Amino acid sequence: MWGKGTSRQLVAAVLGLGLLGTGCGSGGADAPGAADGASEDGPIVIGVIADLTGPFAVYGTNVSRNVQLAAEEINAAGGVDGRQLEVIVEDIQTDVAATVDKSRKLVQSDGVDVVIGPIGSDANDAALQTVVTEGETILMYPQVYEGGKCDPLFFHTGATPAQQVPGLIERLQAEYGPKALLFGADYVWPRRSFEVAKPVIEAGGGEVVGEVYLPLVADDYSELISAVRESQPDYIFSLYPAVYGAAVKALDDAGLLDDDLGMGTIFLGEESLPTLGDLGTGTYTTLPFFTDAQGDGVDDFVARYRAAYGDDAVPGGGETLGAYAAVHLYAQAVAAAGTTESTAVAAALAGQSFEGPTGTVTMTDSHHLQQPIQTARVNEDGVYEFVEVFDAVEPGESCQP
Amino acid sequence: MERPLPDEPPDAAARLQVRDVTKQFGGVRAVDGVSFEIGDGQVVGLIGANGAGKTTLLHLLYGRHRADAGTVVLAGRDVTRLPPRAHARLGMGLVFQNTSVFLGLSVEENLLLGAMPKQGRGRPADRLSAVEQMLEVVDLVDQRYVPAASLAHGQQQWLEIGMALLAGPDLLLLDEPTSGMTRAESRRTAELVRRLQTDHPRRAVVVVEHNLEFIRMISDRVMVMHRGCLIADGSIAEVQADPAVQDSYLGRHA
Amino acid sequence: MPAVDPTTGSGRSAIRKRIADLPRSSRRRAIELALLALLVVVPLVSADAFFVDRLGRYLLWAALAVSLDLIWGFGGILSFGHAAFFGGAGYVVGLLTTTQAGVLPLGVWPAIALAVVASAALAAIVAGAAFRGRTPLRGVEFALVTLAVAFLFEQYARSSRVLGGQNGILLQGQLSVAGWSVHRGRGFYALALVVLVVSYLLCAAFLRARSGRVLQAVRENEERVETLGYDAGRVRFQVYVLSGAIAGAAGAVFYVHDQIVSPGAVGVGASTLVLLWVVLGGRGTLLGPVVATVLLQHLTATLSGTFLDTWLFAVGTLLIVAILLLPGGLLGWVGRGQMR
Repeated sequence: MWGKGTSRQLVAAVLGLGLLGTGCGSGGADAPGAADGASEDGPIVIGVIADLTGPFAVYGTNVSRNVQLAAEEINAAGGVDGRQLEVIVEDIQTDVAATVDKSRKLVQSDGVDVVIGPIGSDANDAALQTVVTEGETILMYPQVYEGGKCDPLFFHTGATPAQQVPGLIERLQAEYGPKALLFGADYVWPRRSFEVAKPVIEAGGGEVVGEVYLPLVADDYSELISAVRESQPDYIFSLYPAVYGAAVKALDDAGLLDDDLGMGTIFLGEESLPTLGDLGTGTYTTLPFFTDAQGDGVDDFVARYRAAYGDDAVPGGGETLGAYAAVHLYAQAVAAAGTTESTAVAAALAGQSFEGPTGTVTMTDSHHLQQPIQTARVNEDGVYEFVEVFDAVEPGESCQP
Repeated sequence: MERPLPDEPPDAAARLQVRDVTKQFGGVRAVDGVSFEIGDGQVVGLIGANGAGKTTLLHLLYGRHRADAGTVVLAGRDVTRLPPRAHARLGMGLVFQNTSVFLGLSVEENLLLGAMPKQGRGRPADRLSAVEQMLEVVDLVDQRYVPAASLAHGQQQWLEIGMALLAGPDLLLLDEPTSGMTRAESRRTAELVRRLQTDHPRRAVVVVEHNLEFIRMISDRVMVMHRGCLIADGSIAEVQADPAVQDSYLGRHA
Repeated sequence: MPAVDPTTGSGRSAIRKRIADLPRSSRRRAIELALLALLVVVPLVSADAFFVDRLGRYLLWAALAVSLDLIWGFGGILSFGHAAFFGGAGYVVGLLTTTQAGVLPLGVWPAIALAVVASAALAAIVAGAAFRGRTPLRGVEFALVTLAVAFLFEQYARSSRVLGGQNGILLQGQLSVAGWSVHRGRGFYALALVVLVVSYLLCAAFLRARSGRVLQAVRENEERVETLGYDAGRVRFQVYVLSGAIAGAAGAVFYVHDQIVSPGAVGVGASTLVLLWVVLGGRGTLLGPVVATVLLQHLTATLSGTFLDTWLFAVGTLLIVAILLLPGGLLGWVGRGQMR
């Protein structure tokens, strides 16, 4: 304990002012309040809402990195009509209240021209409010999600269930058999994905022998285990993004994991594979990107990514191409529209195509991305290995322009 | 254990009637079939060696523990199974041995707690003036805003007495009020206790004490406990002459 | 009036003695007014509407912190689930204002009022069971119960279709008073400041009143309070309901402003943060938590922009330093002040 009386008060005052000082400095009394962006000659400002901390930190970091990588490339090539891209990244901490706060900051205080991110669909809902509805600014959502969000200023550059599910089901059925068990967290993304999956399974001659929903973070997997025991599925299609490793381990402990049981997911980016250890071997997935993906630009892209972020850096899965392509598509749209004004750029975005590392991706009129989807399988080294590719897969969303 | 029964029949208007109360802890009877009555206006001492059961009896009287057998009737109501706050509301005031003033609160705040009417009636101004008067009585005027923790032990005891008094109790129980006091302080306390009763003639006071000198200064009646039983109940002279008392209690303390 | 003779000594030492002898109530009053003046002046001098809007959010969080300090700092009631009232009120408003065919079933203000009632009712149920039952819960037991309740609430919110599951609920409706919009910027800030000031005044009034005085004594020696004739369980009940209502009011306004409430708003993580604000600010001061909440939340929001990878460490370090240097909290030296 320190001194008493006045010295304590002094310390409190100094500490308090110090804290407030660092805060007020970036409070930005001189920042523009307007929401329609910087002047027509200055930099084009991209705001990124990324989960740099919290449970989604791995994915958010990828978003941030891929956006910056793309921006640097474009700037090095001369920018957009001579204008440079400037990136402001804010940490939304895997927290919805922080998403509300930071996205508003980017739009109202920093006056960004576009917002890219987030990861979770709850944060996306928040951002739709703050960025699109209130801020009248374009929001580009780079992660896989359940689909169904429509707005003139909202663009999705991740993958949808309609893109990921059919190819995965086809592969699993071919390798393991017709009996499918669906296992997911109890919320909208797994539920909607399974709704897409069921007709695909049945159309292919398969059968849904079980459907298990558990809380996003559960500590008891007995329901899953008994369902697997009773229904004896040929494969399990999982959408359990938060603690998938724990669920798999529970199955392993129950002696249910073996080479005859197929495991398939659509959310497991390669950055998350280490959490599974050996238990992940043999798992199938369908994603827009992974390091072993097929495509003329893949090796170059990975090399550039690692040059920027380290040899061990993993470019990622669902959100990688989404974030990278979002920047390029946006830049192209701004060039086409000749302005950063949101409705004009939005109009120009629909129909834009971009040659990404894995091939052509096209922003459709439904504001979702037509793109190649690739199937991968986790090999003995714990890394995704390319299996097959589906070209130009439609997102299957029905948003009206 | 045997003890002499009182000559008078039970007084229906007695402030406190205790009938055959017994309390057992494990295999030990801390209080064993104790009966007595306290009438209005009486000042009574209760003495006994350590372990005689005085403290347990006190706990039974104010409701901290529930008697295993017997009854405690206060102001005509059976309070044997009621919690301490019921006892307080029926006019029982307490002054504890281990000072239990509220150390974190000021002297004034402590007294206010004693002064606030239990039923929520009365005006704040009245309460405050009652508190101010009591500050004079317990000689703590200068310490009004001082936290009770910084009072001397004797002052804390007085504060506690002040708190108990502000509630206007009809029956005041004091548990070893002079423990830790000097002779001079004890004398002053004895004066205070006498005043407590003479200022309010109907008020009864029971003082649990080791210090027979102190009892002598304040009361005409004393009860003696020994091994859970009440072995004597009468005037000081009577009790001192009682052979049972001499054998068990006074003898050891002589 | 202090019964102290101020005429000893002369000049400087006399003044210093005078200040030291002032009843703490005057010192406290001065700090209250200074803080209020600061909070009123800041939005007037700041040109940045967004910064002011952000500050408004902090003030609503501060009201939540004050409500926790009321029960914890003064009543000794530790709660690991206080965010449940704040976030829960958000959910109630969300449910009540959900549009169907573009028509609000309930206006924003009636919805907020009902949310406050719901918070108070929830608090009454919890406190009634805990404090007034046949076997009242002791401190640690109650704390664990609140932990369990908060945990279960979050779990339920995550999986409930009604509450929107993972994604939560979007709130409709805008805050306005007599035609003036108080939904954003300075208008919202003014509303938030009013909520905070009213909350503070309610707490101060309660503590000055009979129940509040008894509560503070209960915290120290419950048994003694009972022997004075008071019902400890009843005052605990009262303070907990008041606290729940305040937290609910602040939360309802907060989430209408944010327009989305999700499971992260309730639960143990959110509740722990509130505890941190109170500890950092100083338990039992009512003012300290206000300062700590604003500082810590602003620090979190701005540092994470400046130190992208390390801000968590920076905040954590500052917290540890602060608590080591000032274990009584930033404003611990203010003390309870005399609530007269």
